[in-house]
Amino acid sequence: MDAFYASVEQFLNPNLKGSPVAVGGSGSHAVVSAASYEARAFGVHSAMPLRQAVRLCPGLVILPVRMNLYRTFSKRIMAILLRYTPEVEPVSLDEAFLDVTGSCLMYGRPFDIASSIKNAIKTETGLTASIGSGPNKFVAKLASSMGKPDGLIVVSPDDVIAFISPLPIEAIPGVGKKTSIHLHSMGINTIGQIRISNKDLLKRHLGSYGGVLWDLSHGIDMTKVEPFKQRKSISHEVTLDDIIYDIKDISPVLAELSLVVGTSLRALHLFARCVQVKFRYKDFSLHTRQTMMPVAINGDSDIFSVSYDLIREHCSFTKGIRLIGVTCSHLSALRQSSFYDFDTKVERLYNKIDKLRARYGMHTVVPGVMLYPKRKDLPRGSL
Amino acid sequence: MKITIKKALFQRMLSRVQGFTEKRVTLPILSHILIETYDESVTGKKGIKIKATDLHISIQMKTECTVMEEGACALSAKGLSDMIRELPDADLFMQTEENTRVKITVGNYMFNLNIMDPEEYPMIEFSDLSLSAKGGDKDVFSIDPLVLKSMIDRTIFSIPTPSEEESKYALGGALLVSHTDEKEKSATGGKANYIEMVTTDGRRLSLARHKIQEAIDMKDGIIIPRKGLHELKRLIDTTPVVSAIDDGTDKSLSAKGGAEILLTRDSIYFKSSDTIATVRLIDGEFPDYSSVIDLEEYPIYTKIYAPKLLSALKVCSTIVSEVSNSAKFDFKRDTTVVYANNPEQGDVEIPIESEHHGDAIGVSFNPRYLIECLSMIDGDAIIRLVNEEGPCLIMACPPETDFDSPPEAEWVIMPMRF
Repeated sequence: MDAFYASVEQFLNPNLKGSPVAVGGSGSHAVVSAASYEARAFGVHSAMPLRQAVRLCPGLVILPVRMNLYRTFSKRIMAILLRYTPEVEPVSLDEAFLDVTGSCLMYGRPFDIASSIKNAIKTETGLTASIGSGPNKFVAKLASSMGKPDGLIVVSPDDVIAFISPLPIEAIPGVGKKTSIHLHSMGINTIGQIRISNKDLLKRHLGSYGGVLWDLSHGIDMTKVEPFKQRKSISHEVTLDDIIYDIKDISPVLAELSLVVGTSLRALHLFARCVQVKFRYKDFSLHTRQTMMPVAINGDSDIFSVSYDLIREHCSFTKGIRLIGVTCSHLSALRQSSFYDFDTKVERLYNKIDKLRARYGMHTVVPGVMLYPKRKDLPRGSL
Repeated sequence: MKITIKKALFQRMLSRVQGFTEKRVTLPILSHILIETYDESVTGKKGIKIKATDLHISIQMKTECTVMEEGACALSAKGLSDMIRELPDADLFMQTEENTRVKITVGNYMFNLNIMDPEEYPMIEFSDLSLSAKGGDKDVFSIDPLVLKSMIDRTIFSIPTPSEEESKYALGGALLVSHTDEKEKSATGGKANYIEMVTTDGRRLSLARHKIQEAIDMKDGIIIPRKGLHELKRLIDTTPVVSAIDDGTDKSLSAKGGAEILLTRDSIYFKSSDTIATVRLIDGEFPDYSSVIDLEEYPIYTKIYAPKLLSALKVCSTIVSEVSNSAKFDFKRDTTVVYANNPEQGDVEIPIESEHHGDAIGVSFNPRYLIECLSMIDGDAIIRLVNEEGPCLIMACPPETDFDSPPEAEWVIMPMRF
């Protein structure tokens, strides 16, 4: 989808059509979550601090994020996609891969399918989508990015090399700052230049990812479209207002993270067998530690105690902590039952707590440790 | 202290006592062993005693050896045995130097090791219990070591390890309790008496049962900690260290090395000619498990050849995902189908012939739990069930001739559920 959050806002409020719109958080450190194409013309882009965005684009209309609203739109769009093939892999709220190999007999060439989808989205939701088509996910993704906004590009297998070669390396999904600096230092600026470089040399410099890049530069991408991919993990992290040097000060933060992750797990009826903590020291070095549990859990307090133990054991507080995160993985809907009815009681308790939180806010019910007086404010969960 | 001892003997003693030390570093002296010389004035025998303790379990081994100078020292158990293992088999010479170091010489190898002050070593009390005390004091019982070992083997795996010990229910030990069956008559016409060992981690329960001749009254039973059970089992397995008679025949341990197991209110003792070990019992209340093993609660059952199901489950485990940790069992009239899948790998389905009584039923279990108990059954197993969400009870199929007497072991496993 093109500038999804902003487009939804513009669609719902026609007065905003044609004017620069940004959706973002509030507060002095808030950043842009999404910017309309009108705003992008001024140089506004997502993840930019709102203050800077306003400087660049004085007439910018700033709207709060309405996640539930975007979710509703997303569901409607995904439903449209599912008419064309069951092979739909949602990547985010506003992005999905479709494998239409089996749909061509019914709906025609990829171009016909793509324009039909675009039309359906436009007439049924009022939003514009950009669609790219190609022999694999990599090419399709590039084609859709190239066509934005309101684009439709079909790359046939014979044209792949010609299409991708002139693109800058930064166009490759997954190539971030580090990799691009590395490649530039090797004199590589375009995908075509990766294609004519030595595969072993790339591997030596970038590890196995070098080989992947070389394959991609030849238009080779064997990853499959995986419809409704199971959630692999649920995580939440927070950058701390002040550097923390004492485990006592970390407890309320961990409790908050456990609460957010636990609530998400239970909302999806999942249990996790693995808990991972992530912490960044003042010197910006990032560390993760994890533990595998014999029995899957999804209660806030269980997640808290496991992550607290990990932190206590592996984190050296003298180095100062600036970021902390909790990830639950190895998710399953199955759980081991026990002889005691204690588990059932806890389950019922969380059921009630979750209802209260859904209705009156995440912090309606919190563990006592979160009220530890040194905390100035509670970091807000993303839910 | 100045002694000479055979290296092989010293190494065997070390490996035996090592498990009794504390690995965590809270109190450094507990990771050490105490070596001290003794001199029995009556017999004129001289030698060394090696002691180890973590304050809950303790051991003392004794051997004769050449003592040139009396004394004692405390050495790091792990450091010492790691080193000794690598040395050639020869006479080992050991001499302390001013309570700070010990010099160890074997052949042309020579080491200086740091030692700790033997005065700092915790005193270990080994009260002088013997079987004869049994008559006088009703609170001292003895158990055949081999019986104890076989009960440990069949139950120890369902004691939670320290890492998985969660809150209240994990006692970290096994219950040992006596039991008199009011209904059943023993061969001699009296009531049948049993001792039972029970372990549980809240998700499964293991029970081993042994018929005894004479009734004993252990009241509510005793709880033996996991580490203690483990070390007792090792002691029984490896006794005698210095075998007096060992012609390979399966005699009772008491005959071999004079080993015996004695129980009191607060401790369990292992005694053999050269070793005495004590395990402090856990003070706690074992959860009531009687309803879990009540056969009337399990209306459905399947008879299946245990080794076949075991090998099927082992195959399944290779594909069971870490994520779900479960295998599905479909119990049907004449087959049991075991199914496991892993989204990242694929799936496997294995039908096994079996004899099912009651409605067909499908239940998911952690396959590891079943593997651990099925490997204890040689022939047919009986798997009893309640419903899709209830536990299953596994036991060896009793012989036709003795259908009514309680089985020697039972395992109860809770299923996986959505």
